Amino acid sequence: MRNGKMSSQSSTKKENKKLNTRKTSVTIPLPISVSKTSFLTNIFKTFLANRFPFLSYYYINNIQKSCVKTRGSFDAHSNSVIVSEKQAIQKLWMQGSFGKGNLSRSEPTFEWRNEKKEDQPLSPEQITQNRRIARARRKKNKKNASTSITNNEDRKEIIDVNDKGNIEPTSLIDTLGLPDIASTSVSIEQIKEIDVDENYNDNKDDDDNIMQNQAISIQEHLQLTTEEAFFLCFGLGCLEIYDANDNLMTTHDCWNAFRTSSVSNITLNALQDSPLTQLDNPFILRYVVYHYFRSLGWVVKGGMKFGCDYVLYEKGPEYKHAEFVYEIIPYLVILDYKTFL
Amino acid sequence: MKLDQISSYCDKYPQEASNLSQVYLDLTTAKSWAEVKVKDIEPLQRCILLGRTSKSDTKMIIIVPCASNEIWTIEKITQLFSQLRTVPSLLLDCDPNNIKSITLAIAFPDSTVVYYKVHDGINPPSDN
Repeated sequence: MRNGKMSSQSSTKKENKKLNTRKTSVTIPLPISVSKTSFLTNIFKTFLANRFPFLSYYYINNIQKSCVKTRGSFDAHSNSVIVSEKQAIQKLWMQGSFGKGNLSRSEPTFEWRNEKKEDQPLSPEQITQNRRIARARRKKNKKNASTSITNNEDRKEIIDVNDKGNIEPTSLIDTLGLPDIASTSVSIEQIKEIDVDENYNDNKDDDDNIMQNQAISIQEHLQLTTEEAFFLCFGLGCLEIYDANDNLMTTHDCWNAFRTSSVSNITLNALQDSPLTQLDNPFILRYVVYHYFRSLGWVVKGGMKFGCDYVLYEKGPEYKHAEFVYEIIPYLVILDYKTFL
Repeated sequence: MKLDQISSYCDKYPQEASNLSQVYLDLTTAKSWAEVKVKDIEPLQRCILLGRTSKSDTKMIIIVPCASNEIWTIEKITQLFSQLRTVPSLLLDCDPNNIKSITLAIAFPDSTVVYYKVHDGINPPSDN
């Protein structure tokens, strides 16, 4: 009983320790920086802002210049904003889990997954692939073993055993006249295993070369949805969005462009209003929900993989599974109700 | 660059260009499929991809890239199957009358691609 008590105490201590480490790992929740100035200069600045607004404008401008803005380019065809610079990708992902690497499942890890470290024979991606192949092989063997148990009794009479005691695969095929898919003898299974292994080795070598060549030529970029990009540009002011001709887009330009591109060409002809005048434009609906939950501190990610509109994380996808799943249902008020009477 | 192979198809069907390129990149680099071929299907006004996961696979899988805001009704799916069957067998590497299932590759603006396997008619579940 005493030992039981002690262990429960130590386990709660461990849990507390775990909570502490998790809290400290989330260091910067959003990609904005607060300038560190002394208390006196802060007082001086607020005094200036109240008494001499024009002078303080000069100070505020300087502060804004010190915040490095990341650069993104808007692609109307894919309805997304692309960030290509490595440091910018790191910053946007680490501070708020924005965007998705276009060659990865979520975190932009393409380069890390495919680089082969000097002391290890395989890259992480190859290790994963081999594990999947091994798992598939085990499943197949289980399947074959289960079918062979049922057929064994029927085939015992037909199998010829030669002098060595091994069953020759060719004779079995001849006598039964069947393809050796569901085979019962051990030697056949062994031969099959060896063949299968050779195939895997070939794949590995070829994949090695292909992967290395690809890794040199392909650069992964971070792809932001229009609502993420608009939040960073309008809400936080840390992203500068450029259009296809490399011109800087103002927040107003972005507002118009994102609303227009959110409506596909097929529905454009069926619409009564243009995308710029319609009140239930898909971009507006999505952005309003995105902005709301981001302001509350949630990490909002796309819910395409989960069959919904948005998925909410407390700290980010790399810490815990999502707490909530959201489906946007617009509430439309019919102003001209008399037409329905 | 890898995208040279599909650039001509992107110019031909500009609306489907982003979906095609996203799915093509995902299959060739992120999923590292052994073989991916692009086929132009004029009756559908889009391109499809024929692919093989690894070299030991015998059957080619038909991938149809599409956008996330496309609505796939049952009529549209049956039309897709019937038009794929009219394609000459030299273009596809398999017998077009024998197409039992295709995979819809739905591309989302943040570059997520979701794959849905669609069978023609009712099929019993596979023993996975």
